[in-house]
Amino acid sequence: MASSSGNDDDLTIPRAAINKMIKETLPNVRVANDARELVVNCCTEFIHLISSEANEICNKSEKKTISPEHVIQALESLGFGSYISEVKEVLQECKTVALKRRKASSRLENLGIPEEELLRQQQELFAKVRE
Amino acid sequence: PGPARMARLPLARVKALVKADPDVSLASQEAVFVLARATELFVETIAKDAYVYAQQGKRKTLQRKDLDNAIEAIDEFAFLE
Repeated sequence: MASSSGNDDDLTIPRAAINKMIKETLPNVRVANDARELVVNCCTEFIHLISSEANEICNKSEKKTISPEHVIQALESLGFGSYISEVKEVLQECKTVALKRRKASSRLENLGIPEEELLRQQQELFAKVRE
Repeated sequence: PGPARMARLPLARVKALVKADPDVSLASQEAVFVLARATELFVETIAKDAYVYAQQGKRKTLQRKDLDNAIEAIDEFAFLE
């Protein structure tokens, strides 16, 4: 079902991903096809809603790129504050992965560093992941 | 290894949807992650909320009208009307 770069307005979240999420949420429930289609379209609307609001918040800040904090504020202001605690967990995972990547690349660049310093850095990294 | 997570939305598609709006600035990768997770929660929430109406109608099949009812009843979903 791959589409060539066509009209951006036809972009939606893939039906298969939505079907899987619905199945996990309502395991023993049959769902009509037109209901599934509506959920797909609602997702598109939700993404546009939140990103527009996050964009407004971003414009008011001194930043040029929409940050996760802008998205979180958008969720709060649009009545989706109940999503925030779970969303923050994802953010924490991101930051942990990013930190590991930065440490890994600096280790490769600094092969001349004495072993005890590398060990110290490694301990620091483990401690951060466990936080 | 945290608790079992729901299926994930493809991040590239979420990013493409954000970019499709010409008025919206570039979003960081972390911002896209956060938005994707929020959208997953949205699907979970709206499906569960709609299912209440199917149960009230003593049906085991979730129908489009159940979603319509949930959208009408719930304030946060007013943007879908």
